[in-house]
Amino acid sequence: MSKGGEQFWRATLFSLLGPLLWALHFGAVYGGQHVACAPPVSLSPALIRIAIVVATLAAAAPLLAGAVAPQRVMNVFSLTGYEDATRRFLAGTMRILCLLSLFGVVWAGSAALLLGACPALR
Amino acid sequence: MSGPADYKLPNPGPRPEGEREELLRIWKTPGGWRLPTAVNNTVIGLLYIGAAFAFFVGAGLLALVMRTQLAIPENDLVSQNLYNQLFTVHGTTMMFLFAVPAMEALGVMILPQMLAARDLPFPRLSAFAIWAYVVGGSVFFLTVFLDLAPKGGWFMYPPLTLTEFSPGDNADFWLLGIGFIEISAIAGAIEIIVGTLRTRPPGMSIDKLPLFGWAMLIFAGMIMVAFPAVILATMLLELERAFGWPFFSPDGGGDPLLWQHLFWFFGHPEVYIIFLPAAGLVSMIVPTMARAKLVGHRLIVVALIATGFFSFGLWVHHMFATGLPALSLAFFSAASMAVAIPSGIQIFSWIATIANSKGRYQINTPSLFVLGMLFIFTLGGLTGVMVAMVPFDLQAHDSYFIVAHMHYVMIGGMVFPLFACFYYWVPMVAKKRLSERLGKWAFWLMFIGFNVAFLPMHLTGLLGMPRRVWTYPSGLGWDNLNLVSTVGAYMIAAGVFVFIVDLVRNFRVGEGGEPNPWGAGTLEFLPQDVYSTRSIPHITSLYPLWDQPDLAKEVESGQHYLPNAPTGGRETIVTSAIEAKPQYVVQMPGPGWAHVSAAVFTAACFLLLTVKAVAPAMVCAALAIASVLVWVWDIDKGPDKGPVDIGGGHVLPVYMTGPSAHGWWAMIVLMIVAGSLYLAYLFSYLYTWTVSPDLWPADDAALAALWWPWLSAAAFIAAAAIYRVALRTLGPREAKNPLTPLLLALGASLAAAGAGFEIYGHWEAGLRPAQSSFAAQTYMASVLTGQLVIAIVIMTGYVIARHFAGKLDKVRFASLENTNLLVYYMTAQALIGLLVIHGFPRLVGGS
Repeated sequence: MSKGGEQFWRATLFSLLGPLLWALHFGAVYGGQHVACAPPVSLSPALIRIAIVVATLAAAAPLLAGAVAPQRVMNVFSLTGYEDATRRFLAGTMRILCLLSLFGVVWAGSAALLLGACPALR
Repeated sequence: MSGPADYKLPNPGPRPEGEREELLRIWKTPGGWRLPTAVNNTVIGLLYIGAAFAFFVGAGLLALVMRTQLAIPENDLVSQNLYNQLFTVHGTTMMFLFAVPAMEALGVMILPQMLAARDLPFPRLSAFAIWAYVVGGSVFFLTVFLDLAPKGGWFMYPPLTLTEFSPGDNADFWLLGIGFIEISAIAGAIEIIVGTLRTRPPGMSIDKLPLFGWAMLIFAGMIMVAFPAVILATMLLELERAFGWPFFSPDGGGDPLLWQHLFWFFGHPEVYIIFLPAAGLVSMIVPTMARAKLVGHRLIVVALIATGFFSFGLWVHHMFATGLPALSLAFFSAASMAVAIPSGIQIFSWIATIANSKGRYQINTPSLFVLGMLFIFTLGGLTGVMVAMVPFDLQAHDSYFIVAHMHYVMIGGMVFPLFACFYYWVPMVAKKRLSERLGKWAFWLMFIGFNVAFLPMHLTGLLGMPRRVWTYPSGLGWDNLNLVSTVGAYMIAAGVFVFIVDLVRNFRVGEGGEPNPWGAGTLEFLPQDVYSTRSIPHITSLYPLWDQPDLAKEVESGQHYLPNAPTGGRETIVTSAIEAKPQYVVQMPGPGWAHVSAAVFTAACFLLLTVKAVAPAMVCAALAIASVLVWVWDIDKGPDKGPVDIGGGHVLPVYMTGPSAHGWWAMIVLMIVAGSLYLAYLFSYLYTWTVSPDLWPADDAALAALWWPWLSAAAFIAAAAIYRVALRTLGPREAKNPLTPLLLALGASLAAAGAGFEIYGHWEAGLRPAQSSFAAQTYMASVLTGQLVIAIVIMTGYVIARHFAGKLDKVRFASLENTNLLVYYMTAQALIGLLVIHGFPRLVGGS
C-alpha cells in the first residue's frame, strides 16, 4: 500500500479509537452475555457478571489513556508529516471521542453490578 | 489575492480565449429526449430530490387518508385491509423512498459544489442509482392502488409476513422492491464516501471539511454497515417465503426474533442515517444566518461520529418488550441514553452560535425552519430518553406515544431541515430565490399543524390507544384527541401545498441568480455553471468565502487549479484523503444510455421476480449485466492524455492504479459492505444455534465429509493465487500475453468449483435447506459466497474481453486489479465460512 494510503488508515483508526473500542466492548458484553445465558451454554451467572466487569475495565483503560494522553497515543500510531492544524484536529477529535466512549462503556458495563446475568424482567 | 501572505495563486496570469467555452461544451447537459442520459450532478441531483419529494407528497396523502379514517370513532371510510396497506406503504415510502434518498440526493447535488469538484468521481453510478430508485420506487408505491401492497408494517415482522399469514405477492413487493432500493442506496453511499474523501479541493484538509461533508461521510459509512443487515434479512425472509427455508418459522427451528434483530440493527441507525445529514444542513445554515462561525466545529464533528457509532448500540431499544434478559436491555438502555449526549452537543452548539450572533441572526424562511427543527427535534429527543427507560417503554410500547415520539424525531430532525435546505440552496441551482412570504406561510402552517397533529398523540398513547388500529370504539377518551390530530395533519398538508405553489410560481432551474444571496462562507455559493466552478480553488479556511474575500473573483477568472480541460473531456482533481494534496486528474465519463438501461432492467428483474415471472426476470438480469458492461467499457481510459499541468506547479498524471486510485477505494468500500453482510450472516447463524441448539447434528455422520471443505478451500486459494499471477503476466502496451486470459478463465473456474464443492458436499450428506434452520443457515453461507463467485465470473469475462480488445496491459489494468480485490475478499469470506460451517457443528456437536 502507498505511504499516503497507509497513513490514512492509521489516521482513521487513531481518530476512531474510542468508538471502535466502545463497539468492541458492546459487541463482546452483549454477544457474550447472550451466548453465555443461552441454553446450550448456560454459564454461571456470577461468572458472566465478573466477565462483563473485566471486559469493561479492559476497554476503559485504553479509553482513559486516549482521553488523558492523546499525543502519546498518536505517537503509537506513527502519525507524522501532517500539518499542525491537522494533527491538533485529529488528536482533539480522538480525545473527546475516547471520553464519550468511556462514558458509554462504563454506563453499559456498570449494569452488571446491579442486575442479574440472565433473568428477564417480570 | 486571497489567503495567507505566503500563498500564491496557482494560475495567476490571464487565461487563453475559448477555455470557458470548451468547458461549457464538454459539460453541456443533454437536451430534449436525451435528457435521461445526463450525468451532471446538478441535473441528476434535481431529479433525485424531485422524485424523493414526490414520494413524500404521495406518502403524505396516504397519511391524510389514515388520519381522516381515525378522525371519528368507528369510521368506515377505508377497510381494515386497505388501512393495513396504507400504513405499510406510508412508513415504507417515507423511510426508504423519501428520507434516505432525499439525503443522498442532497449529497449528490450539493457535495460537489461544496467541495468545488466538477462532479463526484462516479457520475454514472449516481445516475444508475437514481434511475433504479425512480423506476423501482414508483412501481412499489403504485401497489397500494392495486391491492397489491404489503400489509405487515414498514418493519415487516414475521411470522405475520410468512406465507402462512401473508399469502400472495404483497409481502414480496416489499422484500424484493425494498431490498433492491437498498442496493441503490449503497451505490450512492460508495459515491459519497469516495467523493468526500478524494475530490476535495487542494488545501481542504480534513479539519477544513464543511460539516455537511462530515455528515454525509458518516451517513454513507452508516449505510455501509447498517443496510447489509436488512438486505440479509430480506434475503432470508424471501428464501423462506419462496422455498420454505425455515429461518424465522419456529416449526423448523427458526425464530421470528432473528428478523427483529437484523431489521432493527438497520432500523435504528436508519433514524440517525436520516438525521445526521439534516444536522449537517443545519450546521451549514446556522452560521450563515448568524453571520458568525459555528461554535464548536470540532465538537460537532465528534458528535456526528459518536452518534454514528452509538446508534448501532440501540437496536434492542425496539425489542424491550420481547422478553430478553434484563441485563441485555440495560446495555441497550445505556446506549440509548448515551446517544443523547452527542445529539445534545449539536443542539447546544447551534444555540450558542445563534447567541453568539449578538442579535444579528436573520429571521427568514430557512432560519425559521431551523428554529422549528430545534424545538420539535428537542422534544422528540426528550421523549426518546423516556422510551430509552425500559419500565416506561414497557408501558408506552406499541401505543400512539411511540407514533408521536417517532414523528417528532423524524419530522423535526429531517423534514424541517430539508425544507430549510430547499429555501437556502435553491439559489444555487435556480434563477431566483423562492418566495419569503409563501415560505413563511408554509413554515407556520407546517409548524403549528405538526404540533396540533402530534402533541395530542402523546396523550392518546398514554390513554392506551394502540398503533396501527384502523378504527376504535368511542368513549375511551380518544375521540377528541384523534379529531385534533386529524385537523393538524390537514394543516401540515396545507403548508406543503403552499410550498408546492411556491415551487410552481418561482422555481426556475438555470443560471443567472444571485451568486451568494445569504452571504454564506462556503464554496457552493461560488459562481457556478454546468462545469461547477470555473477553476478549483485552493482553500485555507473553514469559511473560505468569508476568509478569502477575493476568492469568487479569482476562481471565476480561472486563477485557481484546473481552469481548463487539458484532457479534452470531463475531469476533476483527486486529492489525498487527509490533507487534500493534489494527486491526479480523474477522467470521468459523460452522458450515455447504458446506465439508464442498466437501472431499468435491474428494476424490472427484481419486480418480475416478485410476481414469480422467473424467465423474463432472467432476461432482464442478462440485459442489465450487458448494459453495465457497455457502461464501464470506456471508463478505464489509461494515461495517454497526461500528465497535465493544473497550475501551482502541479503536473499530475491522468490515470492511477493501486491504493491511490479512486476505483480501488470504491472496491474497498464495496468489500466493507460485503463484509458487513457476512458478519450479519454469522450473527444469524450463531443466534439460530442459541435458539435451536438441538438441531445442530450430534455426530459427524450428518455433516458433509471433511474432504469437501478442504477441496473447496484449496480451490478458492488456488483461484486467488492464479488471479495474482495473471496480473503479473500482463504485457506492455498493445502486446497481448496469451497466458493472461487462460489464467483468468482458470481462476474463475476454480472459484466456481470451490462454491460447487461446498454445496455438493452438503447435498451428498443428505442435508436439504428446507429441512431445518440449521440446514437453511448452512446453505446460506454458500448462497452468499456463490453470489460473489457469480460477480467474479462476470467481471472475469469482461476483463478477458478487454484483453482481446487490446485494452488490458501493464499500464492500463485497473479493471483486473479491481477484479483481483474482489477475488481476494471472496477467498477470505469463503474460508471463514468453511471454518464456521464445518468447524462449529463439530465443536458443539450434541450440545
